[in-house]
Amino acid sequence: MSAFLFNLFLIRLKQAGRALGGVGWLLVLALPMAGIFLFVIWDKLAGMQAWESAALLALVFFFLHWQRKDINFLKKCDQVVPLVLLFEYQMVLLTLSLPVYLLNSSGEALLWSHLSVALIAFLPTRRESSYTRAINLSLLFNNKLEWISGVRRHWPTLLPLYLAGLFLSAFIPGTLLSIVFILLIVLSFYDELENRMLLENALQPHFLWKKWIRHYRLFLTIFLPHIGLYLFFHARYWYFLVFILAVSGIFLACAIFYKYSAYLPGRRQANSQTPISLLFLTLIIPFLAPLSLIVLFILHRKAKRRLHYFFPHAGY
Amino acid sequence: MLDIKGLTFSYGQEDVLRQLDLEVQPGSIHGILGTNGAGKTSLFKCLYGLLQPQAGHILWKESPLHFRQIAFLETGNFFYSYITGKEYLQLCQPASNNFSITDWNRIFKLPLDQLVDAYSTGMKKQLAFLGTLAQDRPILILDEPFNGLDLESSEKLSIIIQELRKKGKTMLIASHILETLTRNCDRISHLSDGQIRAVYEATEFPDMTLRLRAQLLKEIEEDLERVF
Repeated sequence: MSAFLFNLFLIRLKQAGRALGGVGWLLVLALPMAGIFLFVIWDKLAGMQAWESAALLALVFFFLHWQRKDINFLKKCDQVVPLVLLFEYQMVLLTLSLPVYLLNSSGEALLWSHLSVALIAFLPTRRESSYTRAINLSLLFNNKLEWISGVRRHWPTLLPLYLAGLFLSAFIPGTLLSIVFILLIVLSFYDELENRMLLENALQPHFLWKKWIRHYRLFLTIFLPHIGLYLFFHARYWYFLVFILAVSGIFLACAIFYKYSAYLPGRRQANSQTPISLLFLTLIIPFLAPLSLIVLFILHRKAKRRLHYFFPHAGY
Repeated sequence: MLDIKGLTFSYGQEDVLRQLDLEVQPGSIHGILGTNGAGKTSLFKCLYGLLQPQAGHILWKESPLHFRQIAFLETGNFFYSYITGKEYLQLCQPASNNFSITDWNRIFKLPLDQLVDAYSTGMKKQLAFLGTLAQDRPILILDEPFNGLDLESSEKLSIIIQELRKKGKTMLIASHILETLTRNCDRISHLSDGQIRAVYEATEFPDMTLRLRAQLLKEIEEDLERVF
């Protein structure tokens, strides 16, 4: 067991290194952003009550835990799965809890956060759905395949978040957080790459921008009730909503452009969502938001070149 | 003997396995033949413990079967992003066994120092198969092991399967490609509608092939006429 954990730990470090390496020269922007992000997080956590920071961390770890897909693999490797998860979560948590401890010297916060995250390791993860009947979403999403597939896969998470946004619209963060969390999930819709035949049929002049406009329009349409309620309750703070919607548009464009910038015939998944994840830091530190426009420009150029390389005859 | 009796499994209202009985001799290669959706993968998942059957029992040498006695090659295998083939095999290999990654890879010639993300479908299949072998367990369940493999790799896999039998491994192989089963198996069970409809010995394989082809042709004859 200990040999496996040590091996896994080393592999995790290598994975992280390779994922960051995949970001390329954008690291010049991403690393300072990540650094500032970490300092903000440490500072916020240090300012909280012990139980608040423990609950928040437990929530974040539960979200990650719920999405894990390697449980059966770990079982195949003859490991006691909860113990492997416990080890991994505690190691990751140390990068947050130790600096927070240094900032506020609260042993109580350290203890509670590690205990609450330890419990997460013993909770079940999301099971792959074996439900074979599919709800017809073609009309609703007008053949936007990423959305049809994504909503079918994630509706148990999306629906409560969407409804929470409606019911909590009397509170400013209610609507905004609902949009942000749903956006997080929506970005994962673009992880999968369509096959060559489907893509070839879809290509047209200004394909990338047209696709973004269609998908962003759909995104806004879905949130019309939220937008209406937010403006009804908090018209004075309209700029928060505009900021979140604008950032959503940029991220959606980045996800679409990143998907095609990673396109290779035969590849089923975009290699990494690391660049998109790093963009999320701009939500926490709004003054970094303009940087996402630079990323958008770079990804668009890369995606356009990639498509042109593989489909020179497609009229793109 | 691997003894499966009355195995029943359903997804909600949909029955997948219905009172399924199957006997597999130790040290033999047993093929499971069935159409897509016949329940082959569900049967394997029940054996491995990934699905909990509603009824029935599974015994290995007269004791309840434990998943640690099985090495399972799934149709679609999980790989972490950003890990190399060698790192994957190191994770699969228990510390106690003496599986030599270098020696085994002399046969498959996989680029083990490259990231798995860059592997083709066939290479991933071979890597997952190596991972299964690295576990060194008495029973091997191979779900569509020949899918995505080129001719040379298929031949290698066939040879290795025969060698594993000589070493006393018990193997269950599912495939929808008839020839891969008739070439490799000692017995073949035909799974249909969640039940084993027939068990064929090696001597009956030619007859089985003809019979199955004739049956299939009969089923689609009218539809063929309509479309052509």
